[in-house]
Amino acid sequence: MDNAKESAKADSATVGTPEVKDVKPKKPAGFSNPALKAMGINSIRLPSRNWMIFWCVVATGVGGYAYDKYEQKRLRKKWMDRVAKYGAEPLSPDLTARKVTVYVAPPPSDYLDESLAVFRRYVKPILNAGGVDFQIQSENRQGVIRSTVAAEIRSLRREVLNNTERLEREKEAKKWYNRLKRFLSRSKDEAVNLEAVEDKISQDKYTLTNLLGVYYKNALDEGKLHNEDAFVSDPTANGGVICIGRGAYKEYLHGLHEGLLGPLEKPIDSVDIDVPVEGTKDKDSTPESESSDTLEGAEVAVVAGEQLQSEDIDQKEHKDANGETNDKTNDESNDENSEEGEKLAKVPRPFIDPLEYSKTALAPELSFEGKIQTDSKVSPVFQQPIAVIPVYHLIGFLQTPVRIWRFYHKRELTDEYGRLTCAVVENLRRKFTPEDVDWAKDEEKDWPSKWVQKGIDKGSEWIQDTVVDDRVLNILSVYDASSIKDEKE
Amino acid sequence: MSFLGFGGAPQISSEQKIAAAENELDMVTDMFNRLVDNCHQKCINRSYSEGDISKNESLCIDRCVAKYFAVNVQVGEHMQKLGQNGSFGRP
Repeated sequence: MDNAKESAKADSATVGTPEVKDVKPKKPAGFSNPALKAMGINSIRLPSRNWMIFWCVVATGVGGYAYDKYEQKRLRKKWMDRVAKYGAEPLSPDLTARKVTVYVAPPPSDYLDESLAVFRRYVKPILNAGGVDFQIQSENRQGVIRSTVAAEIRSLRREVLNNTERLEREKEAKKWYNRLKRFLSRSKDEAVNLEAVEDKISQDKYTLTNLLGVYYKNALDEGKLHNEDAFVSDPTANGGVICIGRGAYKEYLHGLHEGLLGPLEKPIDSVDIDVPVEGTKDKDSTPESESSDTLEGAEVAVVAGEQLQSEDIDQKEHKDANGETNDKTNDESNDENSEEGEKLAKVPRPFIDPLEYSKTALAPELSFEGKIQTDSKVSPVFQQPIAVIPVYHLIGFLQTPVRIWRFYHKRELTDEYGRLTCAVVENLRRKFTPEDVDWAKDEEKDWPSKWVQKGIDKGSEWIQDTVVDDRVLNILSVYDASSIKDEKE
Repeated sequence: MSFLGFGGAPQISSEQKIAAAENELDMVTDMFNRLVDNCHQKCINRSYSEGDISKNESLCIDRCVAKYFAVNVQVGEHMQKLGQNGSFGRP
């Protein structure tokens, strides 16, 4: 036995060495010196090759993330410090700060939270540091932003129309022959009514609370709050619009066109669209709803179309981040929606087809020479400049390498979006050019092709070509970040 | 104020009405004081370098007051519901 073993081992390199069962690889010597030995550290060794690989991979992963986070913080701080002086300006108690409207739309086949996260991380800190108030109008399905913007413009046009009509009537009434007519036909009832109205007015003015105490000196002072933009005569220097997402921007442009070029009343044959919520599996219910709604559509047109729109606006998700007008009704309607499940309010179809833009007149009630007066004396939305923040959002397993790259390079977005938001705060703007219609168009490369195909089949809003009319584009302006230079870098 | 012949609903005497009004005044004043303290603490910079409030402080105060009111109302409603259910005070 021993001979056999010895002869078998004769070929191996271990001839001559003693027989051992296990041969452990010798540990490398490691670094040491007497000082370390005195401290008790006998040798400093690197880990094995496999552990080295492991720790290197982990360190790269974690380190890349930590570096990206650090850079994001630094860049965010840079932009916030740049606008901090605007936030430190004093504001008198009867003024409210400049307010920017933010339109947020979800990325395709995903939820609204993604776009809101983009807003919250990159835009909101700089708006807050710059002392600019904002109001978020969000949607969780297509078409809501367009219909609310168009409805707003239509109500403004109606108001201006009513005011001009009233002015005309009063002018007519002042004419001498009309005054004579009224004098001759005046009845006792009219005189009594007039007296009653005058009494009421004097009663309201001189109530006890107005004459005593705190209100004595300010008896007839209404104490109204004004927006500080009310005193700014340049209409493009008022307010501002930020669109988060290419979809929101498209809908905003469409809404502007629909509001300015479209009719004031809802067309009789227009049928509301049943749009599913983004990110959920949509039920194919559009054919049924269209056929059943024809009668309802006709009735709705007779009743003030504005009423229906205001209901639609209330029912849709209408978030105000500043909390100033945090209506309870919105919370209630959201609860109702979640309780009922799928029964969301229908989105009104555009009042005017894009192909008919060139046939209609541009808002004949409004004069676009100077600042158009609204209730709050701030210029209306279409005179306020626009900024668009793209929401790059890839989904899919095969896109994982790209997503990993983007995960490690968010600092670039912080810098870019921060610069644009600084332009918003500092009010750097220029006129709208036709190229600006394609702002953030490269976000559309991220849109999943299946979703796009489904959109083409259903004719949904975001897939359609952006048809624009030059007359509307001439009114618009845009925030321009190109004049903001990085000083320290 | 009119006196019902059959004495239908229980009448709230004027003393009770005054007491109720006093309670309400106490509650409102208390809430107002807390609100002012809270929002001042959160929003206003204590190093009083100038008399005017800045834009940031003004926006912060607007939001603080709105949130405080909203929360107050919601909590009040919940408390009322609990009180009606009779589960108020039970562990």
